[in-house]
This record gives sequence, structure tokens and C-alpha cells, in this order.
Amino acid sequence: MIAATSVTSLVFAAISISAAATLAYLVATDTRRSRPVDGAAQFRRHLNALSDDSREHLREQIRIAREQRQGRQA
Amino acid sequence: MARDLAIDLGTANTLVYKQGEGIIMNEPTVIAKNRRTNEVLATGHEAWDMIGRTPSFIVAVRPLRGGAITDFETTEQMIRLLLKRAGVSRFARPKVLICVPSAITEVERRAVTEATRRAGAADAQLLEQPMAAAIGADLPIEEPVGNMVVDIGGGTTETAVISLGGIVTLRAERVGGFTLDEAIQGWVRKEHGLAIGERTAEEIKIQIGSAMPTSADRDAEVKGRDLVTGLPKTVVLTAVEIRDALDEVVTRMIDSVKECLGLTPPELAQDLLTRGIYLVGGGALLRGMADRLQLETKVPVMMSSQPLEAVVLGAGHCIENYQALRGMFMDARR
Repeated sequence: MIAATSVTSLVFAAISISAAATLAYLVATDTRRSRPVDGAAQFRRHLNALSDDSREHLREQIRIAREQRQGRQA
Repeated sequence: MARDLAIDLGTANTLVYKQGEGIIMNEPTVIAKNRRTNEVLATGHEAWDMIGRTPSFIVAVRPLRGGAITDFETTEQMIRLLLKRAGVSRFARPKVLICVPSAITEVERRAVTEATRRAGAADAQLLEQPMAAAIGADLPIEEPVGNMVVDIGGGTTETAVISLGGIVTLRAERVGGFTLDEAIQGWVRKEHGLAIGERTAEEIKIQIGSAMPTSADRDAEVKGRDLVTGLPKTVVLTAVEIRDALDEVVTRMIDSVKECLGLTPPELAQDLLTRGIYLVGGGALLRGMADRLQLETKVPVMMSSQPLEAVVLGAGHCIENYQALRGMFMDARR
């Protein structure tokens, strides 16, 4: 009897866990779907990533490439 | 954790940029294989030295022609080797951004991304070469003004006008540095009855090739095989005749730029008069090219400080700012 009770409680526990997981998944996907894409913010991020300030690293790479080329030519 | 990679998969040269490190590879897009076993014997400089000099069981090929992939299997093998050399393994799988010609077809696009994913990349994205070139040439493309970049590569000439971080007009023509070499080969064959290889043709182009008369015009001696006798022969070529040989191809390149200018909205076209056109790519190094383009378009023409590395450096910047610049990738816009 004890064994039967524990099996039943295990089944119920599994059902509740999977139900909770399904609910959480549905809530998460619904939130993601309903959240409006902030196009303006995304566009600003895009332009910022191309801005003069964000190109410091690029300029450093250009300088290194130039020096490497001069080294090869020499 | 794997560091992301940017690859400029050019017809002539392949360059690889590693996130946080910079350019880690710059070599010819050539692969040498054993015909019998299909094994890769060499890539890059080593394979380049083999072109036209291999025994019958070895073939040294360029898997890209005219900016298009002519040999998918070889391209995949090459990408696999590149990623391996860049440190990609089963446990370190980076995101890879590949620069491709804007005129790439849907089939080629899928082939490149699939090949890259199969080679071990966690994700493969594509970026048009002119956009990467504009970033790499350090043009202020985020501003609401017209920036024109002309990328003369080995297989394609691509012209784009960029404003506010996106391409406004674009024109691509399948002519490039290799088309110039073929023109020289054809001219020497026709006018001098001499067969020369593609490497010799390229050397002639570098030594005495030009798009306009220059003060450095000189002659060059070239060795090849006489088409009549079949024996080795030497002839002297002048800069003037090589200019004639190249003229048709150069004209096609310039016409492509003019067409792009014709498609540009007037507000941006007037910006170009003050800001000029930026030249990048190996083909842009042809003597007198910038002057000829300026003469024919009446727009100032400037040479990028790093014409050969601009594309991969631009793609490298995108890798460093992957999330913010995702919208520029070809897949994101579909």
C-alpha cells in the first residue's frame, strides 16, 4: 500500500512539474511575442556601433595593418 | 570560449580577422589537391607557388572566380582548413561573419553558410563586401550623408553609396583584377603569338599596367611559349600596349561606377561632389586608376589607406559589435 501511494504521489508530482513547466514556457513565449520591438532604440544602437567613438579599435587595427605592410615592404 | 571570426573570402586573397586580436591570416585563395585522392596538399602562398607548375596528379585551383564559387567542395575544404588554423575545434565553435560579393546568388549564399557551419562554426552570417569596405575605410557611414565606396576586387567591381548605416544604391559588375590579367594574356597571345600563364600576366600588370598615361611608363620583358614553334621565347612589351589591352576592362569598371552614380538620389549625389569616392581593393592599385575614375566621373577620388585590408577590417568591426550590427547581415534583412 505504501508503495502504491508513493508511486501515485510520484505520478502526481511529475504531472504538476510538467504542467508548471508548460505554463512557464507559454507565459515566456507570449511575453516575448507581445513585447514590441523597439525599432528606434535598435537603430540608435546600430548607428552608435558605427560612430566615430566606437571606431577607436578599428583605427588601431588600421594602424597595425599599415605598419605590417610597411614592414613587409621594407 | 571561442573568439568570433570575420573572413574576407575574396577571389584573389582570403583574410581572417579574430575578435580581440585583429588580422591573423592573409594569403591567396588557392588550394592544391591530389587529383587521385582528393586530399588537400597545400593552401595559400604554398599553393599559389604551385599554379601552372604542378605534375598531372596535383591540381592548384582558385575555388572562386568572378566572385562566385565555382567549386563548392573545394571551398568547403578551404573554409574548414581556415577555421582549423584559426583555432576552431569541436569545443570552441565561434560565430563567423563572411564577406561576400553583393551579387552572390541564393544558391551560393546557402552554400557558403552551410559550408561554414559544417566546418565548425556555431553560426555563419554574410555581409556584403562594399559595406564592410566602407566601415574598414573608416568612412562616416552613420551620418545622413552620401559616402561612395568602389571595391575593385579580383573577380568583381562593386560600387555602393551608403548613408545612415545602410546601402542606398549598389552596382556590381563581374570584372576585376583577374579580368585584367586575362586581357593581358589575350593581348600577348594575339599581338605577339606568345602564350603566358596567369602569374606572368599578373606580374606584367603590376610592373607596367596602367589605366592612364603616367610618368612611370616603361617597358617589360616577358618570357612565354611561342604559339607557332612551341619553343620558349622572349618579347618586350610597352606600357602603352598594355594600357590598350586593359582599356576595355577598365572602361567596364568605370561604367559600373557611373551607373551607380546615376542611381544615386540627388541629395546624396551632391554630397559625393564634396566628399568624393573612396577606392579599395587590389584592382584599385592599378596605376592611374584613381585619376582615370576622377577624370571620367568629375568626382574627387581618394584611395583608402589600407585598400587590401579594408573589407576584413570592416567585418572585424562588425564582429566586435556583433549584436548592435546584426541588422546589416544579409540573413537579417531577408
